[in-house]
Amino acid sequence: MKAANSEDLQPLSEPTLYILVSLAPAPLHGYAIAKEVRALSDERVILSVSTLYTILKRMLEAGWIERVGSGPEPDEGGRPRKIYALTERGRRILVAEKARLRSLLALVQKRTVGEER
Amino acid sequence: MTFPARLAVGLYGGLLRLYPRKFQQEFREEMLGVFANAVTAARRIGALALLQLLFFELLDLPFNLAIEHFSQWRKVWSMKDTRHGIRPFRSAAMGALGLAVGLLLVTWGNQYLDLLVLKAWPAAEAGSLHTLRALIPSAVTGALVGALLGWMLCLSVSAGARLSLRTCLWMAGFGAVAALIGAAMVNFSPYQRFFDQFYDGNWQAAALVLEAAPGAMIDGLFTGAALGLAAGGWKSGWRFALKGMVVYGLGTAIGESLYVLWKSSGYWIGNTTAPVSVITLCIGGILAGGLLGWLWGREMGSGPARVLQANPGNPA
Repeated sequence: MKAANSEDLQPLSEPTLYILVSLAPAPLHGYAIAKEVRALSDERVILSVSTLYTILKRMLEAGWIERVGSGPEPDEGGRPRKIYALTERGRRILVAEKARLRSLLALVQKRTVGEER
Repeated sequence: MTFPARLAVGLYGGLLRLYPRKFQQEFREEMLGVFANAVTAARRIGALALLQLLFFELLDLPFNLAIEHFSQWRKVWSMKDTRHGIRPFRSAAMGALGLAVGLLLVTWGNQYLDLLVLKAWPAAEAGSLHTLRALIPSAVTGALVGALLGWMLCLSVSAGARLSLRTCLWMAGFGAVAALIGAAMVNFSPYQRFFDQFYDGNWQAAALVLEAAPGAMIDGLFTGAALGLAAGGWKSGWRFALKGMVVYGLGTAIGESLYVLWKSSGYWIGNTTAPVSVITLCIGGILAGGLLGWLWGREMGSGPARVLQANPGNPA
């Protein structure tokens, strides 16, 4: 198991957070991740293929996700689709981010009581 | 798959060869597959959707290529794009490119639009409407530059269609107003005539900066306000308006100072100062757009804040 470093304590970028959230319920292939991020963000975050794979590569290197074989349906070119899943470390990062967001929200709510429209 | 779709996939496949070899071995085939799927889905929606996808992918690819090559040399940077670090850099690069290209378009487009307007409205040439007519090309190019910059900045933060459209519309509208004010300052006030007297003297540099900076600051004020309004409402609009004013003023002052330095050095390009003027204008645009993009990237890159903003009652 890799030790947490100082970067683990920094907030996630929005695309990274959405990718982790999209993989939380079940493993997905690259195209499905992109579609899921688009849907989850209500079309607010659209990942280009290059951005998606830049982030997936970093997450693979950091051990947040892993490849778990190929999907049953091939892609447009007949190539097998590789499936990505969250690792235990990835789940811990997601849980930590959730706790961070929750405490941030609690702070915002505490300091802005009565300002909701 | 249709011919245009096959062509797009072939072109993209060729561009993916620009990635480092190791990255290609691991991801190229997979990326091509995902791109082919996206092309097929866009093709089903229509030709415009396909064009939009291609622009989006082609504009985003160079930044990810640069990140990948850069991370080969500096491993310490390698995780930054999953956190916040790299996003302001992407926005700064997009902002610099957007404003520099926009300023080039203004320089080029103003001349042609001017001719078009003159052709459509010849009676205005000699009369008092002449100066009023001159405002039309400025407003059109101002709107186009605003929309282009807004679109590129949205692209840099992977913003979706609604935020991108909102930003482009705000930027186009405010860009047109700022350009109109700038053109009116030049055409209808004694402002320019006042500075004309200093053009050939010792105060040339100061005169050029003082003449150009207020117009640029007005442009920055409106551009910043539009960006802030589109992203986060009035409070953000005011904050960004001030930031825009400062960075556009700074960019113009540096661009104009470079112009004077270049001119006084005696190194000419061709027979006129026009190319030097355009180059230094672009350098000023790169600085101003880059700084504004950096600020925008920092604002928009704070992902959790945006998630909270979008889902105030449901944080996780």
